[in-house]
Amino acid sequence: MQDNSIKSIVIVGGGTAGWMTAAALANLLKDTKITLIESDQIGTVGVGEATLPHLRFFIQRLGIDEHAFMRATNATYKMGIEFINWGEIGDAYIHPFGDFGHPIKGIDFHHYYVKLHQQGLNKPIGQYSLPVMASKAKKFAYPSTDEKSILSTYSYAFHMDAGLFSNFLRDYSETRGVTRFEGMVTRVNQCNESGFIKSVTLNDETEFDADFFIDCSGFKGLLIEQCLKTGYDDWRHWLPCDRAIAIPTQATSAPLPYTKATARNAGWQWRIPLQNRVGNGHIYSSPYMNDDTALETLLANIDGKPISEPNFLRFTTGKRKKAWSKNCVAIGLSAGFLEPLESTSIHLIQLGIMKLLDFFPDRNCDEIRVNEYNRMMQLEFERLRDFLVLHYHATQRSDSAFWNYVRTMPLPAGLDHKIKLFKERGRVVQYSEGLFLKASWLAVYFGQGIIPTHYDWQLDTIPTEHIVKQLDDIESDINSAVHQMPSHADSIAQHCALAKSWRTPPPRASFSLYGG
Amino acid sequence: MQTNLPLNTIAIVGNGLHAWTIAACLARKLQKAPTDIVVITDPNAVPDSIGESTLPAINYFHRILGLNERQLVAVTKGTYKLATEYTPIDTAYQNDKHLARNSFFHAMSPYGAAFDNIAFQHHVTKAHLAGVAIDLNRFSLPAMAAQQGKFGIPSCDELDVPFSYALHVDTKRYAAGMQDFAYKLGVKHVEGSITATQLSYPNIEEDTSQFIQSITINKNQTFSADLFIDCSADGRLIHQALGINYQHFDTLLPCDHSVQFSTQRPHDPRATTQIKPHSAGYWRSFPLQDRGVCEYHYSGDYLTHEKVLGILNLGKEESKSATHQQHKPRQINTFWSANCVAMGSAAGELGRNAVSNFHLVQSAVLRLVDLLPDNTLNRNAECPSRDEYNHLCEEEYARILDYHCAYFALLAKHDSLSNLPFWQQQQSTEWPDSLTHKMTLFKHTGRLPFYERETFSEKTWLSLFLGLGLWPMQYDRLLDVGQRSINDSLVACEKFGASIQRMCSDMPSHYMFLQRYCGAK
Repeated sequence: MQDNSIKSIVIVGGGTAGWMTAAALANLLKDTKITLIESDQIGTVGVGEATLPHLRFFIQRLGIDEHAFMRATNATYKMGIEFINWGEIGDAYIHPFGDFGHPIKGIDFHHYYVKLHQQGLNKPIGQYSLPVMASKAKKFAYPSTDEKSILSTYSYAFHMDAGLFSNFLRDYSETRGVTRFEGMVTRVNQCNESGFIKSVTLNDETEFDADFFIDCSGFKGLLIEQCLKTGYDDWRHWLPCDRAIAIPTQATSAPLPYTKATARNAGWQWRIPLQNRVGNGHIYSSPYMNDDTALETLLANIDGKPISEPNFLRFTTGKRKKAWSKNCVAIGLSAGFLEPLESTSIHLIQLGIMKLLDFFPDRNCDEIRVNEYNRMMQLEFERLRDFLVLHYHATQRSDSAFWNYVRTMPLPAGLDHKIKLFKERGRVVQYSEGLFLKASWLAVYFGQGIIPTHYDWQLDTIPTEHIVKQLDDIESDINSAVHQMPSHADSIAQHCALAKSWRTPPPRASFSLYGG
Repeated sequence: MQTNLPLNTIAIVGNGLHAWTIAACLARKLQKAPTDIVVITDPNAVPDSIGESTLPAINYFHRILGLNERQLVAVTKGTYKLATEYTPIDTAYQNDKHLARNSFFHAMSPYGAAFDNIAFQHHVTKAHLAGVAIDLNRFSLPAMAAQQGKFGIPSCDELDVPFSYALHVDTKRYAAGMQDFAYKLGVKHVEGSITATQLSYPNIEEDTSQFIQSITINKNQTFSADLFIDCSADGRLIHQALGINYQHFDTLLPCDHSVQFSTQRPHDPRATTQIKPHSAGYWRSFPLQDRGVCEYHYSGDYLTHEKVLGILNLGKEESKSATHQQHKPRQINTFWSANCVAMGSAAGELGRNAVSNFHLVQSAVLRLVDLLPDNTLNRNAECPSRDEYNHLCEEEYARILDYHCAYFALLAKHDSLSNLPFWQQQQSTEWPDSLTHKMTLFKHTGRLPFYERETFSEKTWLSLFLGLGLWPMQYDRLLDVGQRSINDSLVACEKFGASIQRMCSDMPSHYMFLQRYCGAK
């Protein structure tokens, strides 16, 4: 039989996407020649980056020591994201990597909460989440592996320096045989008959041919769009932010174990604490705010001294029509862009890599395989998009044209139904394939003022005093558990200290947001 | 504040197994609610099946109801089901006491395990492509136990291989048990034929669908309810009263007739449901404690009833039990319309080769309980829970339709059948896109596409494909990386198979288990 297996792969573009891809391929495809072409002239965004717990799964699959990774990237821990001013100005809630309470008598916790809420309980639902309370107390400890313990009910991720992460993975990849070339791709050469990419030519006229190409060239999609012309779905009518300004500042206090996302007049501001500094940025919608005002807003709302000039970015929220076309897969921004409101950028890179390995082709890249990959990525993107749209739409804000638009805009198919179903009786549309599951939808619904009209009326057969006691018990369990946790800063210091024999190994990672 | 009160009354229109199963489940779940449940049965209804072969989900259903499984198996003269036994064509049905060696035992849990982080199917595909004969039955504990006529429930801690099972039950006894259970929980029962239905519009909007206000029985008794569940054979409410139509699957599901009859109790029954093709359809049979149940499913286009009776050549006792039924392969367009939910036969018929309406009824009633409306249902045109219910049912039915079609699609490719006109017809059928995609992707990559709301897990689909002879042309490329050879895969498989064999050898025989724990004589 003819050997059609892929013998060589060229990755165009470095950055987080390029080097994560190179590292994963180098780790698994031991006899494939892997080349990465990048140019120092093209800067990466290189500010603080917030991640999701799934990244730990990626790191562990690559056999990387988590503590070494943290030291190399100035990483801190993250147990959730705090959303400020979203439902209304003055509101704040944390979307945690964990559940609220636990089901009682087979009925979901939030129904009990709704019942007491209707009777005047005015505590936020976050009081019943360990990662929320630990975040607020600026504490961090590894989740327990004992499933009965309340300390097993959460998961964690990192804040890290994405530029340092790329360097770290570059070392990893190069020791495993990946060759890096410095240069700009100026020409992409296709096979006349099939339209498959044959080779890429650099500015110095060197030509690199390969059986398979991975486009990590960022927004512009050098291969997937400029050469293969796959097209792009523009989603700005649902997610109108299209600009960002990033600026790192000096840290003025111990790092928080969560990301902050503060809504502004025409967008929102991120705050990502690293060990040594803080990543800040303002994402805004250009039809509703100009660059100067955006910069002013950002500078007025940072708490340390800037350590570099502001970095201006432009993007079009949406998705490449086909992330995989012919013998080229787009991974990272070249595949699509969703604003980092829920820290999904690196996750989408990781997912693209994992699915590529799942469906790894031979040189023919048969269509059925390519179609399934694209179908899965489409599903994932759309589900993430709808979850992001919820943050904008679920608001009572009417203080600017931007908020008036997003509050009243027509929603993507299905999202309206999801919200109505929840309002009716606290029911959450369930799906099994997708990043943000029930606990996340609950966090945003409750956090942004979408409270169900009714609870499960099976609760009316349970005396209210019992429910009050159950909730009080959960709350006090959480408080005493949080009380015993070390501070976030102490945990980082301990885990990143050099003497390995004294460190507790991190728990096993799973491919889930919530742990437990 | 808006009201949050449970439904006052739920009326279930239907008969026997389905009606009483629904009633029992609702009564159990609404035990503490002030909801009245009434079952309205029709004395002229067609009789139930003789027996039912179920899916592992029934164990969950029984847990919800709080029923003791072994006691239930004893009372319903049931047996256990570890696998579906797919047997090659055999013209002489009477001679099947010793089954062909090459039967495939399809267990309802995964085969093999991931070796070296690469899924099982890639290892066996690699071996298969190299010409090594693979006996799948050796890589699943329930499949191997089924083949050897054994049954046991391994204790959790010793079990590091997947294991699941279902039940075969006597329909009449099971229905009677459910009826009894429902009565004890206060369900009311009325007998009579529906002679009229009174419809109305909800009083908010005009341009919505009509609601059922009440139904008249025997021309003189009127019943009103907040919610009606229609599980009648002919869609008495959903179709005849509310006018919801069906979509038909005549070409996709070619068997539109069946004869069901009891046979003598097999001497040493295996814990399996047996499926075997014949010239114009398939046989399906499974054991109960005191007899066997046999179903002959066929297409009326290829066989007449007379001819079938000739083929079956039933003995005196068998004839007495035989029922002949005509089927309409179809599905209702709206499962829940206004205040009427269609379940079982009223919702559709997708055949019986893997999932019967009995399973779909259990699934439907649990879904309804999850999404149950309050007593304002009749006053609101909008009901998001109802939309969600319909959406979930549609997805569930589509996946089951695929699964049932897969049997015909894959068997039609077998050499032994390919010159029979009925099976030739199946070769040219245009299957649903979702199934075609699934089979093509599997054939090309050894992987299955992901769809939500599958009744059968990815692994169950996978073993069905392999077991019925659909092998991938390629396996995971990562299996060839480094120094991995076919031998590595075979050694890993052998080791796994040997551990299954060890566990299996400790298991008691199926019948012995039934005698010991489930009252079998």
